[in-house]
Amino acid sequence: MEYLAVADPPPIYRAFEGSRSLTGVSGEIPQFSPSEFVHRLKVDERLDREIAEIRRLGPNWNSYGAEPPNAQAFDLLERIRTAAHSLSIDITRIVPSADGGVGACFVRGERYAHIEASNEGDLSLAFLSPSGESVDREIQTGEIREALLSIRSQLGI
Amino acid sequence: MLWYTDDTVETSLIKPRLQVRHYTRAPITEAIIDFRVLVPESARLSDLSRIEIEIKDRYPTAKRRMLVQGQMSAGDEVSASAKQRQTGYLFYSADGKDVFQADLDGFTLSRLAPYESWQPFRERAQREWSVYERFLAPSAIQRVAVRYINTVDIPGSNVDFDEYFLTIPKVGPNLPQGLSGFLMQLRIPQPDIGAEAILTQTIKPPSRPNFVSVVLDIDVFVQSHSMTPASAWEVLEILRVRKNELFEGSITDKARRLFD
Repeated sequence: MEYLAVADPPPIYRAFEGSRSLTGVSGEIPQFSPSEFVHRLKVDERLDREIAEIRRLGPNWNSYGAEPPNAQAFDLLERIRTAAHSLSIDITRIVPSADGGVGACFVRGERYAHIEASNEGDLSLAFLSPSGESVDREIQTGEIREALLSIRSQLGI
Repeated sequence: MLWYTDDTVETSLIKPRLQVRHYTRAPITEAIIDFRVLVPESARLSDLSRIEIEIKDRYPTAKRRMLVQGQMSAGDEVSASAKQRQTGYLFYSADGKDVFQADLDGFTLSRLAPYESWQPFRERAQREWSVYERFLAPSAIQRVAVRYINTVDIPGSNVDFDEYFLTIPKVGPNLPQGLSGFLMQLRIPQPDIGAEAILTQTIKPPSRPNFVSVVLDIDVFVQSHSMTPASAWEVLEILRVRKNELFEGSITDKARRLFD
């Protein structure tokens, strides 16, 4: 049997192995030994899907005149992903920005943070407290790792 | 299959049936030692959090491990709800390659690539287990597993899988033989050692351009309600030998040449 390369490969493992956090549910002995590799593979697969959807956005995608993220914003997002991967921090979701750009969001319970990469090549870090107060500041490309560590510290992820 | 219910293990079972080789570039992406345990009802998450302090020098990063449960109901009205609760911790070494998972129902040590060898991995697992055991005092071990996830990177964009794998999905001879992806899972009883193996094989996005990456994931485990820690470590040795046999029995010499 030969391998035929395709542009959009099928999902990996999804059919067989539940989320890592589901092992041990209901007091039953889990069927699989929990794997960090499979967990990361599934997170990557999900983020790839989300990015593919965002790449399909056109001008005025939100009907309020928003521009779709450009190559510069996606390049910065890739840096955020790489840094998050090396720190074993899971990105909860990737979303387009109404201001033109793309954001990596992190959620734990009622606590929220994101790093936004704009189409102009700027990065910003934002935290939203459960009471609705937000803190937003610009960061440099070289500060992505520190930003992720502060997200870990504030959100406990 | 009661040989593992006490501390005596038939060591003859450890003798491999297939020649096991040591590879200079072993394709191991993750090695896992996993114990599922019963802990006293009095055990709490706070007991697990004390582990963090004990191992902070080896595992400086700690993450809470969450259980997310969702419920969806359909009928005249559709509704969905989800809740999450913490079940344990994940502790990461400074380079993120060693991951120690401590839960109220289990102990897991993972080693991500690059993998050294069994001996230091097992010794690390025993060291972390002794910490887990001290704080959680498990009353029994219910499941012992050795799981090795291999990623075989094959050069080329059109690859004949049969040249590299003896265990591979088979498509009927009258059907087109080209595959763009597959996910195969086999549960293979190991009655001679009272174990079971789950062999999962799939294609993942290639690690390098112009390569095809095939995951060969072998999870060998024993379930019992009466394993002691001492017997569990002995069982682990038997499972490792069997895991190696399953790996060697699933690949061809052409695949072996990729790792030598």
